[in-house]
Amino acid sequence: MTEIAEAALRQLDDLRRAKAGPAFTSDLSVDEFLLVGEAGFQPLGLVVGSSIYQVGYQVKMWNENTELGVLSRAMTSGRQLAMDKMQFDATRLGADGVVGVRLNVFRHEFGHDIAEFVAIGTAVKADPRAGGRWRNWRTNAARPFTSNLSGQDFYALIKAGYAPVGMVIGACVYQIAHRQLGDVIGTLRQNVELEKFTRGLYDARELAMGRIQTAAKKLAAEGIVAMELHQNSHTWGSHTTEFLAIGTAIKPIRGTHEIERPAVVLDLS
Amino acid sequence: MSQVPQDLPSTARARLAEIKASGTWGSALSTAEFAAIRSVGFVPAGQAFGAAVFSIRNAGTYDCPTRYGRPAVHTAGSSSRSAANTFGPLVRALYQARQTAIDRMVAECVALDGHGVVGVRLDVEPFPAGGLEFRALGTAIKAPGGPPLRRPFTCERSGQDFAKLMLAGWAPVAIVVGISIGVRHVDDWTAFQASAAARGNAEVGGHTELANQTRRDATEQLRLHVRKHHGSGVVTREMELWFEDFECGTEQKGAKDQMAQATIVGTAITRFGPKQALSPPASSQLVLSLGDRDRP
Repeated sequence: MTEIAEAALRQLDDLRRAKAGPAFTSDLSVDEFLLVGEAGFQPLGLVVGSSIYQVGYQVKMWNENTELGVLSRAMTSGRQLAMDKMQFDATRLGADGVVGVRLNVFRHEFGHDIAEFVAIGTAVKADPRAGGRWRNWRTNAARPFTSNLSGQDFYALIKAGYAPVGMVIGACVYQIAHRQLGDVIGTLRQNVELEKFTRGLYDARELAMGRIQTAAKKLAAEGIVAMELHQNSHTWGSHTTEFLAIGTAIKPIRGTHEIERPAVVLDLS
Repeated sequence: MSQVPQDLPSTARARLAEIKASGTWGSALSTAEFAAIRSVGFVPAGQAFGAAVFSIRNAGTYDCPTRYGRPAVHTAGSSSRSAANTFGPLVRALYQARQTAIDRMVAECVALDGHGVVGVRLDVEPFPAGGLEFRALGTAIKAPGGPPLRRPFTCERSGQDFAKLMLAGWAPVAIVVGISIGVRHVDDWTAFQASAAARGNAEVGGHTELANQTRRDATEQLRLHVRKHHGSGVVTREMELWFEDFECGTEQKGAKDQMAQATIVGTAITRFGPKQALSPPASSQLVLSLGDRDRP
């Protein structure tokens, strides 16, 4: 029997003898759990915030490229409310931050216009040894930071001398115009760019990315990492799409940002 | 060597006896998982399975918790008053069904002289003839030469995850579940906010309160379950939540109550060694992988 197996079995054989501290909960994967620990953070508990939101009535023009302001604002504030509740939960636990946050939108059977926005993550507390001499993990408003970084990315970020400030989102719900009969006939059997469509998709993405930029600026962040751009139609049909930019704003915690030289491996899995 | 327990069905006993007689094990492990559990001193003992078909019904008559006064959320876990008790039996049945399936799987593991079961998949499926079938399927593993455990561990994580935990000084203890059912009377204001008549963007306060408290209570139930198993923490995957509405049962015609049910499943873990005290120290290293970028 190996040393590890022996030690593990000894512990499992008499768990009641083991000294019991407060149990933590987390929604981290095993990899993430271990890496967050190695970065110097202890998981405190699973935190969750949920907001059930009535999405308001939106007037639409059939043949115009336009942002649907009511829907954009709903998608932003629903998520924000869910994140605020999660952050509040984390504050109560005395956390320094929340890692591995996932934002989901669910449709339950309440009705067509009602969505549940859910933010779920793991509240963590920093060890004195995390991040060298850096102590000030909370945000400027003295609230726990939030981050959608996976455990792996979080580990690498801290090692590189940066700290997350907060999760930032930029949402834009956009209606791409339907093509009018004349356009359809004019381009029949031709290989051409559908300019109206291109322009619409362009504008929508730019608006979403512009908003995430503004949100990061408000947090006085140096930059945004792990930005993802999602495109969801939810239940609105093919011409109405939500463009969602989501990322983690970061700030430096020391002057130098060199990491140990990574070893090169050839992954055989 | 342990005896094949008598309370298992005869076909299960026959299969277990055959595995023990032949020494040939079956497993659902991938090659990489197999290599991973071997690297921490364990070998597969055989496939372990447990199932239980339960009739899960709402027990007793339902009585709306809020006939008068301000509506509040009642969760089966946290509150012991009035309506909460109505859902108590339902929550207990949901726990018991899962636990029975897991216990039967553990009984097979014991029969195979295993120390624990890894890679456990927990499924719930409606059985066509009625009731819900709760299933647990995993691979029993053992450390050859190790003394049998009073109760084998169960782990819903893969063999690789099991090995990673072990190398870092953590051992899985048991699969733990947090279940909560919350109810809240749908008051007029909430009903209006959730109806098509409300035209602006707004949070539906009542439903939000219900969802938050039920999710939080499920997390708390999970933590209590971990304590019961003497674990010091838990790693989990996902939380499920669904809603259902039904007649309130008061004099008001058409009044509704909203129910939310949240379920979260995870693996309780315990620390068996000071970090990195075991050889070799299992500390992470930064690597640049030369594999395909989008391969997991």
